[in-house]
Amino acid sequence: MSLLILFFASIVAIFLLALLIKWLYPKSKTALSGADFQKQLQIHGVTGTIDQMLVSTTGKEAIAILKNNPHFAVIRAFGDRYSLRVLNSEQIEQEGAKISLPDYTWPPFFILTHDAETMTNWLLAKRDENDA
Amino acid sequence: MPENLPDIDVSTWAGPLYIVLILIEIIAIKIRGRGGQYEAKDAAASMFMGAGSAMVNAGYGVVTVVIFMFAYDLAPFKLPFNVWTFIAAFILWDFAYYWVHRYYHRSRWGWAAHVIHHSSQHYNLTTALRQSWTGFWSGAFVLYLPMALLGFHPSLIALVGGLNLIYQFWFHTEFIDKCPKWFEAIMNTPSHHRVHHAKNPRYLDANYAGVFIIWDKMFGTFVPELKSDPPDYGLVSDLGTYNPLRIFSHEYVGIFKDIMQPKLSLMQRLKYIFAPPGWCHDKSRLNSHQIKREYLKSHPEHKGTEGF
Repeated sequence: MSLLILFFASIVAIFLLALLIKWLYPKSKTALSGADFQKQLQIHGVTGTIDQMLVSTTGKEAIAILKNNPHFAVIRAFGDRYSLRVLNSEQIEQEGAKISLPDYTWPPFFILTHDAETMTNWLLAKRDENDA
Repeated sequence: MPENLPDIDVSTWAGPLYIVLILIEIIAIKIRGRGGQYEAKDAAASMFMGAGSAMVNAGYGVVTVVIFMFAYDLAPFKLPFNVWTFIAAFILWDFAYYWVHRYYHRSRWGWAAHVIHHSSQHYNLTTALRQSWTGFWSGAFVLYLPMALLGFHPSLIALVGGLNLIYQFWFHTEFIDKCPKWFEAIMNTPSHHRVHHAKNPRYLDANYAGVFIIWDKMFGTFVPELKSDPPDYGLVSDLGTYNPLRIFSHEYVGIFKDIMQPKLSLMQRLKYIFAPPGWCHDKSRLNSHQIKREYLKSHPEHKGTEGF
């Protein structure tokens, strides 16, 4: 019982500390930029530069096709930290504006509805390239 | 239990201490304008992982005590509790911790439990709380059992284990740069442990120590922090979520997916569970040694420097 009380007290303390951090260190609301994305590609040693990119509805994720690289690059921003994946077209699932990766730690994200067709065309083109 | 062994549950007073120190760090970084960074969701995830770990480990603690009492009963002689046995137990625990920690990093089964602690891209006091929920299942406690067989009472073992863990809290910070030279030479410090949390190829699989950094120096795993190569924290392949349940379970899910692949031999399936993280039957992923080798191919000038 005392353990449960301790646990719930911890949850309250976590909530209050998180509020304090949010207040003292507000996050930038700026959407991901191509420059941020390119910098992360370099840091992660990915060859190729961004050809075109689509930013998600939240502005925190982006997917790009690369010059001189047959793969897609996908990035997610966590404040000023980033998580990056480089995947082939077979590994990316698209359902309209919803993009899913074969990665348990990556929730699906949504691109703008009017970008969905572009994304479909990218996937088809890359799959054709792979088949050729 | 030895009569003069103080009945201290270190975890009961460690919680408030952690919160106070985190508060101090949050405010101190803000005032100073450097020495670390906080992100609300990251910190909340870390602290939640810590609270969850405390709950889960309290449950496993009962089982662990039974196992340690059994081992203690087998001990040919029982050591009394005094200042010397306390010091000996503290040092022995730290020595065993070095090997436990090394196992956590060099076997995927251990890594699946420990990866939680390395999954933040930040390095601050809340990172220290991002602790495993499945430490018991990693089986690593077996490496502490010889202490009970040597005659150290399980209560004393629990006490030194708790103190060891508390010591490890304070050095999860970027706020402190370097400690005095004599201290850096013997003890684990923020600088040494920043190296351990870094994913830079140079720093992979380094500085496993808990309290005394001398174990890394003795067993060839010590790498100093270099100003020319600032630590970049997190995992080689960083997570895309703050969800504590996914943080806790992702490596187990990865293991399950890997062993369920068709056309693998039994040995390959076992290697997916117990070989070093990154082992892969088709070489489509890299382990830490391979990452270092690949890095040196593009940066041959670093060959022979610290960590390579």
